Amino acid sequence: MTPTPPLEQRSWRLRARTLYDRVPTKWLVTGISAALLGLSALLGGLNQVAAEPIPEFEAGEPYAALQLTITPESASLIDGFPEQLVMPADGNRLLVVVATVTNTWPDPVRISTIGPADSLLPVGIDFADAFTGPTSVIVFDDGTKVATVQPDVPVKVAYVWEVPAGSLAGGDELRVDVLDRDYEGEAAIYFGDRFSDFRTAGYVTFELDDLGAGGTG
Amino acid sequence: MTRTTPRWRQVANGAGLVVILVIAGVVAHTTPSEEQQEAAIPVRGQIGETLDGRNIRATVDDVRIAESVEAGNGWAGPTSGVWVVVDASVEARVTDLATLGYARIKVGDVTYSASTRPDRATIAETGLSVGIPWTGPLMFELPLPLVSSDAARHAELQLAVSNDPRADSMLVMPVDLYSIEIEKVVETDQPVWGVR
Repeated sequence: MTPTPPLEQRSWRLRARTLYDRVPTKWLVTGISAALLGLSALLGGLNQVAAEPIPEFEAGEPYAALQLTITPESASLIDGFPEQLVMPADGNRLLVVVATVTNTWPDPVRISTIGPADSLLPVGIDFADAFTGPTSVIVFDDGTKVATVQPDVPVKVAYVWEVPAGSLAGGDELRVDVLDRDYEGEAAIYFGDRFSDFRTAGYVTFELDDLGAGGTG
Repeated sequence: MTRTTPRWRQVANGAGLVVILVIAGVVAHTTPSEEQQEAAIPVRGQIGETLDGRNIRATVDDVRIAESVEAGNGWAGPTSGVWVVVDASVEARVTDLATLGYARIKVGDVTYSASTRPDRATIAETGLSVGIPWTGPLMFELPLPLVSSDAARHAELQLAVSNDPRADSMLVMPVDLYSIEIEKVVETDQPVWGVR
């Protein structure tokens, strides 16, 4: 005759076993997830995180973005640049942000007018159309409309946006965001480099200067 | 349990596997990367020589450096660097569906493209014809400290058709920018179609 194990212990084990077998798997999964979430909440997972404030730059302060170091200098309103054939449509004026740009990339960089301007974007203004890229980017010295910036050769450029006349006036405060992006490696499908989307790295507040019809700009 | 495979076969199998892995490793590590497979095919030569690529033939006559340039069309663009002015004759060889889309100076790992700021006063991005060269200047904006640095001794001038030079000929000429004297002003002539 085999000796019977102690009745107490056996029934406790059996009962736990039976209970475990009767718990549906879904409950188990939910329970474990809830326990983990609860733990993370205890450790501060639900705490309010302070949003990182966007730094404000002074006009004339350089910001080293990924490819271009950009120094926004001034913002003004002007009727047009007839000599460069940059004229707004009737009822519009030009918003001009002047900046010095230095290329720190090992290859020439063309400042694009497609999408948000590489590096600068005015905030809170009525753009003449839905497209927020600059109408043109002009090399200050000679009025060239294709601004290709060579490595380590600083160039003063004018970013130009078309805005409805009357939407901005001289003396207005204008916030201009300085944008930056990250390098994500070689492109796989097309030829060239791959970058992340633009993000706001900081902003500059300008007091708008109204240059009227221009002539000096 | 009886052994079905003889011992020597097991050892040979193991050795065979190691050999295959080694070969695979060598192949994997020596396969040209995509960049190497697509790289431009260099045609090397000296300044003054006529170099022939698949669809480009060019002769570089002269390289000058100046603080400012007075171009043939009246353009005088100031720069915070210096202008490297390259006088060249460039023509297509096979088809005139070609532009001088790639004209660069490479110093170390950094490249500088021929400026389009002078507009029609240079042959940068000019459409090329078969057999009839465009002769004129190319202007490159380089930082002054770079031109007078040691790296400038081993600069390279690169010319190719289309702005995407992959898998096509690229004419490559060494140029010693360091030993070229920096002039105050350089005057350039308007590009001409044909040999000057």
